[in-house]
Amino acid sequence: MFPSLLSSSPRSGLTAGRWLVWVDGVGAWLVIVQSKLTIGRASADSPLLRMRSNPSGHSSSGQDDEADLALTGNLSRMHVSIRRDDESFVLTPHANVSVDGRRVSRDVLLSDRSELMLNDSVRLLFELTTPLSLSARLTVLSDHRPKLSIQGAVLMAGTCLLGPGVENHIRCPAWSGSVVLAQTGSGLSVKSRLPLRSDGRELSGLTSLRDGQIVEGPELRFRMEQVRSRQVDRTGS
Amino acid sequence: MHTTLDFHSPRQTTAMKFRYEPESRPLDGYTIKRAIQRGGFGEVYFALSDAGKEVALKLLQDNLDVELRGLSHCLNLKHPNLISIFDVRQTPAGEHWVVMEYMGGQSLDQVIAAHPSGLPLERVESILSGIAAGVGYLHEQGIVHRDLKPGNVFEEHGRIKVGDVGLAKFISESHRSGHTQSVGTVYYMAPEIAHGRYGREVDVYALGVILYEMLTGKVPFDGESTGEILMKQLTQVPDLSAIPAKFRAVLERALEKDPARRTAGMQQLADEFRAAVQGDAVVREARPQPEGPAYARGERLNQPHAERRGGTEWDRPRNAFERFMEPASGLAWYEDSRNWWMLGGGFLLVAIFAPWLFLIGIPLIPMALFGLMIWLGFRGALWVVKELSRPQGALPTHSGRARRLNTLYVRNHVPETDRHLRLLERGAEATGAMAVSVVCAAAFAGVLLVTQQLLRGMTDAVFFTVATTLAAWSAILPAKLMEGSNSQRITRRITTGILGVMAGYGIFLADQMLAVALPMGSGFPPHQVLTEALSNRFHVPDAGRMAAYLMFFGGFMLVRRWWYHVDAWRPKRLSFTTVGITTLAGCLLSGMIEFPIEWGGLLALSSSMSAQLASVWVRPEYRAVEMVAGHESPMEGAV
Repeated sequence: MFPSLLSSSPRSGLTAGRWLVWVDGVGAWLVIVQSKLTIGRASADSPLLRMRSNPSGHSSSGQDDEADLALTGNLSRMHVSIRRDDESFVLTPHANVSVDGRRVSRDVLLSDRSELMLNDSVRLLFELTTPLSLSARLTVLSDHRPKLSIQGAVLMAGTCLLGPGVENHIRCPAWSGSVVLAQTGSGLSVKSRLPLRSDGRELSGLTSLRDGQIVEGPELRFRMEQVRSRQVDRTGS
Repeated sequence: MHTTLDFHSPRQTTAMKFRYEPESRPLDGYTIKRAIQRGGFGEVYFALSDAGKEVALKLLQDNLDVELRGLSHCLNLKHPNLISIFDVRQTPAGEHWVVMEYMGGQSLDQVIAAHPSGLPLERVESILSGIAAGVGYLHEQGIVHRDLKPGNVFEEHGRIKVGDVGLAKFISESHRSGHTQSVGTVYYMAPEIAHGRYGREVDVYALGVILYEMLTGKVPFDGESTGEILMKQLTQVPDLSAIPAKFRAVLERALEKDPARRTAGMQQLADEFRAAVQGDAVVREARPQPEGPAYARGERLNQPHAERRGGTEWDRPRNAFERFMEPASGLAWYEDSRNWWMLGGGFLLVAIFAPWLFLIGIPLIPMALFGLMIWLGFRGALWVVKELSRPQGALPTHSGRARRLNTLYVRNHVPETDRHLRLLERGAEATGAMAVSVVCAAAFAGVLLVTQQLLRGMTDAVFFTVATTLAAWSAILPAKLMEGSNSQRITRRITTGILGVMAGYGIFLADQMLAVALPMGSGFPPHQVLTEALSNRFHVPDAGRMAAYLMFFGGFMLVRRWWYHVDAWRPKRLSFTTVGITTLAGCLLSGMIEFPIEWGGLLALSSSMSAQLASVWVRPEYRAVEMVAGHESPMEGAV
């Protein structure tokens, strides 16, 4: 739908590759704009330590070497990664990983409704929810809690759909229509047929989103939070 | 929650009206990340403590009367099936927050909504066990949940937790019984709650309703309005035909109206259900019932539902005529005895006066017809108003014959209770009662005519009827206009007294017209004074007689609390004690004023009886519905 002008060149300091979308009445979702998603164990380090070095206290920034999708469970710190390769998604195991019941030891292509099993205990579901978008959704099936109790992750390939129907990546049953998050440049923009407001003014067309922005609409509200990483985005496999 | 967007209206955006935004910190130490939902008592947010602990923060509604002290023993309850409360805080701004365990997953009402024809049995059993264990623990600690419903039950990966524990207790009574009661909670409300009884059995009932809903996807009692649903909770037998046969007995016991006969506890309900899941063989083999309280009712447990007197045979839509005749109390027209009195009295009237109808029935009939016309007018207006507000195509269903709820003690549904009645309803009830009183009065007169020597002829009988009727009207009118309002007793008494004087005047006129000429004495000093005033100042002929009528009926209506005798919420429809005392009062008053005693006594008797028989009387169980549901304006319609 949109040409994916991916910034694959690492920037020093901030990347706009990962976002948390906090949706009222629905939950928190990790939206990955960058081309790779890592899954692994949630860091055992105390967040209190982070607090001291980060006076603003309540940021949800990830630990330096923590995976994007950090879960409680018997996992390696960097257990598996999924990257987007043009129109397909490739899974790279770094530890014990099975896809649809078969143990994998090297890169495999993921298809819609693939079930991933990590260390024979943590189960995840990989889905392509709609043919209208190449983006994929990853949710945790087993009883393992992602950090911040997020509902799952969306690996964006251009767009991320939010709305009441099952075809949306982020399902919001009480909403009266759909909202689209689109990848533009190195960031995200929002667009919808529903009348949206943010910062006190109405939004029209495609509006780029910044960290901390709150978007409101008829019976809906969500907040965009950029997940900052001090580490340069590794583009290796 | 279905929101519809009107694309034709000017672009309007309304945010989900949560008070706080993500990243706000209304409570020290916590950062709100997003809103979760709007719960029963306030808004719930997902928040992170400064150290990263995930919590749910509930902001209690402003109008709640929260006693923070009282919550302390709920704070320290710990059970795997209860959502833990970590803390209760009050901000300087006066907001009350409950800090509690965050539970992901879904609420039970979302789960039920996803299974429109019922959940798989295994899941029902596990959810039931979880709720029973959690709330059962509460009961052991001496706490009743009071607000158990699917919206308060959460499931995450098979874990069941019940939330909002103990909050219901601390909401002030007036809030609970006011109009703000939402339809959502009424589905799970045990009947005795309407009478103010909150024993642990109310939780058992709620769990019974939840069980029904999990098995079938629907609640046992539904309706267009809170009042209708409540009425069914109080009086209608649940339709268990959609429930698999082996569970019917369990549900029947759990949904018992009488708390004393209901399943005794949460654990018992869960055990009975589990036994029913496994115990199909027991029914088929007809083994003797095992001992123990759970099976104390013996054979009844296995009796097929269809054989019992159920509510379903009465549950049919009312047609237009029935809706027209329906009295305000919500009974069916054939259940309101006043209508039968009217019909019966009408027959009696015709039977007694038939031979003389041509001659003397004439003054009677126009009066009755006139009353009837006014009554019809009010009824018609009421009916039109109700019809206009009824949603199209939805035929209202009628609740079945009320069952005796004899173990319920009604404390707070008495004449003094504040209620709200629409003016139209007051008018309809007043005119209805007035019309019926004519019939009752005539019936009395007829009986007296036949059995007594007092009434010498038709004329006397007519006069007696008129007098009784006017006296009854002077009681009914002010009583109905001031019913349920906070009027002082003295105001009511005086108003009734004034109307009594007016009635006395009317009766005096009747005396003149019919030339009955009751013999009055003249020894009573105030009577003499009044007679003088009437004849000298107002030049009234036959002043002595008029004065006697004015004083008798004025005093008669003044000395008794008529407003109580004819109130819709009086203890009994017809109280012979009241009649007796009123008759005595009539005799005493007659003696004092030197009004003919036999007349005075008999008029007192007949007017007291007529007024009571004619006035609307609402059965105690229906009063509860009015109190809890409030008198919903027809214009508001269903929730």
